[in-house]
Amino acid sequence: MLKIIIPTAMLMPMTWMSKPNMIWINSTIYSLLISLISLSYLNQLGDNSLNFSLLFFSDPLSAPLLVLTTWLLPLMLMASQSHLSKETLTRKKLYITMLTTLQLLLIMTFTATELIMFYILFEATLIPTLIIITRWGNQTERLNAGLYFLFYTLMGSLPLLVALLYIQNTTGTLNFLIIQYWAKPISTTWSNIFLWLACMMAFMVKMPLYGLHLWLPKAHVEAPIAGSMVLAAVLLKLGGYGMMRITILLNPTTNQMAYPFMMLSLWGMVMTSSICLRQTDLKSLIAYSSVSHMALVIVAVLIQTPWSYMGATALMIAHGLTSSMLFCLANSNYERVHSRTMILARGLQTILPLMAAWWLLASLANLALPPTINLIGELFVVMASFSWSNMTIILMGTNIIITALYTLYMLITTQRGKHTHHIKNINPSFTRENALMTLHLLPLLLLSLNPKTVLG
Amino acid sequence: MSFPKYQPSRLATLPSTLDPAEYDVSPEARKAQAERLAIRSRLKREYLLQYNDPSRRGLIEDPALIRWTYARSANIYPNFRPTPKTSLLGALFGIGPLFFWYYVFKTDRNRKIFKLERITTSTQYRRIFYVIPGITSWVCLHASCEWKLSTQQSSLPYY
Repeated sequence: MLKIIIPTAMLMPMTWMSKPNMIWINSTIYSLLISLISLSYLNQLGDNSLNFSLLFFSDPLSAPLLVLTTWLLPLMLMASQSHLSKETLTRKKLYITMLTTLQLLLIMTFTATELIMFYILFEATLIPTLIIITRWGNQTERLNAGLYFLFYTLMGSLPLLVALLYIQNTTGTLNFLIIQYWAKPISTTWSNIFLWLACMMAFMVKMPLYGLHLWLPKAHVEAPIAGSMVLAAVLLKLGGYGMMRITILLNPTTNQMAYPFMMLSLWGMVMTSSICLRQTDLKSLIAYSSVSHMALVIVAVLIQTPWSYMGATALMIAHGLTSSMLFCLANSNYERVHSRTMILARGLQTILPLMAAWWLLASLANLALPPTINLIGELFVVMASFSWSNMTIILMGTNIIITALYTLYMLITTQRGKHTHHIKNINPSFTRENALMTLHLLPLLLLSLNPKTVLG
Repeated sequence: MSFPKYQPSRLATLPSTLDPAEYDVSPEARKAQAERLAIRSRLKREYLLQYNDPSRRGLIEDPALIRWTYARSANIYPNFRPTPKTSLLGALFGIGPLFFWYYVFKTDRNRKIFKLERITTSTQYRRIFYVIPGITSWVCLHASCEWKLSTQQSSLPYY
């Protein structure tokens, strides 16, 4: 584990000491090397988890998320090069330092053994993200967005601290490896209901659950591209990962307590997908589609069956890659047209055909086309929820249809039709952008050949 | 000479020169038409100046579009007021369905749990229940070889 943590920490001094024309090259190449190291953790043992030390471990749930996190850092750096090109050198280095700090904290979060360490790092990831959103965002609404992001997540996770300390006092340990054997079933008293709520609310806000999702469209829209990528791809999955870890301690209260959140997720899925159909802002559309996909993960985690957990992990990885790719595509539009309005830059297929190919593939992945892992995840979750209760198929089916509708709406509005004639002098696609899209798409397509890796 | 009755069709709209209503408009209407024409031509002149400017690099901003997107995306809440219509819509689509689906799922799940418990605890169906655990345990063994998170427990034997 130190093999990954120390190189990531050392990326920061390397950035500060590089020559000005080498900062991007150095950081991108070295972060790619770190991600190749993390691929070795995917080789998991059969029944047990890989334990590295008292503090760090990785098991089939956290290993794909770890690889996703490390894979995303070079992609974020590649995507940020263009909008930072006009800044001073110090600010560029500061930006890379923020991204690297966030990466370091995320790596440690996904492999933490002690739940208190997980909590501390979970909170610590908020700070670099807040700095990235409020300092380097583009509109004046970014301050409001940062405020919403910070305080929603903090309010949700403060009870979690209390709950974790209480569990430490009663059970004696919060080490994840031990507590999975020591967890006693808890009864449904009022205090246990509050304990359940305290544990879960932090992750519900992070996921986000439908009623508490207000921070997400603001934060995603106002963040710069790397901020959007890391938010959509990794930070939301922190919530899912935390929920999966903490539900071990909370049986069988979950059977009764899960109902309100299941209702919010199921209905929220349909509602946020429908909102997507009426959006004018491209990034806002992708942000709401993130809420919709994560609501599926919430449903899967609350049902707590083997298939639903497999579906949830597959869906998390698939959504991470797809959503990040869609944000990169939206950013490539934004850099040329300087506006996020969808109808402003139409008919891009005639002007940038290769980018249209990436748009098509990303949209097809987003609407869960077979045989991508998006479909595998969604299918497992739908099947598990069908066995939970037959009627959920109505809402799930509606959601899948509306997902297809808004994804195709986004594709057709930006790519097809007659192009608006004032965009005929935009820059052609840079190789960097094409490489970015390829690096997003390649893991996604390769994983459809071997989904066992992400099925946890 | 009297005008023949020209009717517009689906692919051919009636031009204003063939429309008899065009010829007896009041002077105020004429003045309004002239003002609108002045505004349109000023906007078109500005647009064409920017469009044909060789040193322009980037797109031409349309202030109407900017106002429209701002109104649709960022200016909604300051203009929101709880009226009977909006509260009815909010309750109907936001809160009502949550309770509705709660009752639907609760009745469905109760029926399922009741049926399952009836089968597991009755003596009449016990012989069937000897075969089913055998099959289910074989299936579960097979599935758990690929399922590595073996500590999640669910209280009902479904997969």
